Amino acid sequence: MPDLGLLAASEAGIELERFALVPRPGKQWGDVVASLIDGFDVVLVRPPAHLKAGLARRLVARVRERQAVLVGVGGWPEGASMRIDARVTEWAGLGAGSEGGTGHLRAIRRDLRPTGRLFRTDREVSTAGSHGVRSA
Amino acid sequence: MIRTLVLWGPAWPLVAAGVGDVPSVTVSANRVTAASRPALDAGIRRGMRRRQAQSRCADLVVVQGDSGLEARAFEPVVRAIESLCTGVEVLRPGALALGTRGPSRYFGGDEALAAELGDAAQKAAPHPDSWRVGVADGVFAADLAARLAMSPALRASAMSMALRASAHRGVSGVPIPADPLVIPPRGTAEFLREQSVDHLPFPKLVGLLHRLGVHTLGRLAEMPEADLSARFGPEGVAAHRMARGDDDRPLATRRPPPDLEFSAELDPPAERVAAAAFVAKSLADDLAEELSRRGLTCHAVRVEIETEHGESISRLWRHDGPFTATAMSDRLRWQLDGWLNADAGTRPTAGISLLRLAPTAVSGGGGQRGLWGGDDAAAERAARALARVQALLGPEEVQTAVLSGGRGPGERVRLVPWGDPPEESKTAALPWPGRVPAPAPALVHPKPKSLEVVDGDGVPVRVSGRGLPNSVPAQVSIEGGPWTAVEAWAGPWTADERWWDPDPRSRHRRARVQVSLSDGTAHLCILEKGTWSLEATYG
Repeated sequence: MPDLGLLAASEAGIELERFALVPRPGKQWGDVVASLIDGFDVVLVRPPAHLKAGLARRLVARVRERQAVLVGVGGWPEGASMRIDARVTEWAGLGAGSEGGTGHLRAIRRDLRPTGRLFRTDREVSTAGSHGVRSA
Repeated sequence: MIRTLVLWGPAWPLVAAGVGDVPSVTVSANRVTAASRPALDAGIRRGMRRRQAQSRCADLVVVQGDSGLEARAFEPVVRAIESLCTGVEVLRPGALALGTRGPSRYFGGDEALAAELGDAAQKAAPHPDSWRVGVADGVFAADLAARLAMSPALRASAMSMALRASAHRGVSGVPIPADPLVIPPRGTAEFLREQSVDHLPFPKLVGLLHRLGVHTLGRLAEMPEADLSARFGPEGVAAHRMARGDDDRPLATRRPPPDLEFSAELDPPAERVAAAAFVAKSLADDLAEELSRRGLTCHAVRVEIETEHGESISRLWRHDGPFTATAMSDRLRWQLDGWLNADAGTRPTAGISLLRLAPTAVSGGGGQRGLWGGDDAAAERAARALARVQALLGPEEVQTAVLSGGRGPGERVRLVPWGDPPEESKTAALPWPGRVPAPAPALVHPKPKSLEVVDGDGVPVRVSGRGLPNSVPAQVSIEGGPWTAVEAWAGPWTADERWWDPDPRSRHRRARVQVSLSDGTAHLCILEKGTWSLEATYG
């Protein structure tokens, strides 16, 4: 994920010195992700457009064995235990209409819709934070 | 140098798990870490891949290592040895060390002592591959001797070495060794000379030494210590001392000041391991914290437990490297485990009322808390994974980020290759007028996207030299896409950067504007030299 906003990550409480980044895994995507799952508890990836279901399943099995967390940004073809759809509902702080040009972005309100095996019912969770992402 | 005896149970993780007499291995990261004697006979070696090992032996049992179980199973052996000798130090589950000076005089020589202790251990916990005993000068050499004891080929070479050493000194009548391997006094350096550097407890250094063509401890010992120190730091010096056959205890070991002892009373007394282990964890954390505050590292720690009835048990644990909080709380938990789950006769009669942790060997410096928060195993695992990725893609392709000074979200984070020494950026804390306030955008485009921003009349929006927009942004088009209405906006934040620089390419006059659009997205736009671009996207 070469475009990940690292400043935002740091504002969200991630210690950058414990954060490794592989921006261009290229053709060896599968090998790289598998290695990272072996070493880290949380791995954030953007799956390539044509991720094969077999590879996706193998990676999920590896994640289970390692008790790690794999987050596929933009979806995961097969085997995910949870899916979270996020939608921004409000950009708070920006001046609208005649007040345009005033203030600054202060908070982002999002609706998160988790679905999957871990959730019995679909429900919406609203989050808002003055510092980027806050979990609900 | 202290004459030391090491008692070692080969493949202890497997013996403790009760599968020592069948082909079995423990596996970590898909590599064999320990193999039982039948597995070794089948041609399975440490470091083999799991699949490869299974192909050598169809009915191979693969077990997960469980250090708690290993320590618990080792407890009867420690107790048996302690009933014969004092000053027993547990090196790790399955291995213990003691100074031989007193006991060896009592039992009539190192060989007799070694045989006696080997029998005692075998009686306390029958080992299918028998307990190995090695005696030499220093813990490292004794440990190595224990590993080589009874392994006929290696022992022959080690003994011919020892014989040559005594012949060299004109000593006659070297006793034919019994099963334990006893290196004659002052013969340790000779014994170590032909051994591989693989035995050193520094995996990284060992790899490097092999690549440098230094394969034996003898070659390492021949090098000047000062050079090793200059090239490899404290690790190099420690390795050199081990290779020379000098004591492996840190040179500057001092008695710890008394207030480094940490204890906790349990009220109500704990009957179960889990309850006490929780306290043990915080105790270990406190001690580690205090040690690191004083810049000290701890190599041995005494674990003491007392019960309501005044029974007490204390045990000394040593560690190859500096003790981390996790390593200490593990030792404390193993100790609790071993004691509370002992046979009826030796089990405490009441709940545990006091836990005490006291460092017994500390040295200054060298053991800074790791980058990864001090958890050795996790840091090692992460480092291995990253090394593998670096091997796949090249070292620059694994990066980490350092906060640094700047105004835009991209400038405020600097990417450095993983493994380069992290340098603190002093500029991050300085005020940066014209910086866009938090929250930061979730996506920062590596290459800014082209953008057009127009007002209600379709005229491009400009920002004046005074930092004021000439009109109100109404619509934007990203990379030539459809026009999208601006719902709200803020800014501009202007910055005149590096105006003093003679190179015009590093001078920037920029204005940044936040916009939220009718399609529900929000962006950070940047205007420079009359051209808009999309720097980052919020989300």
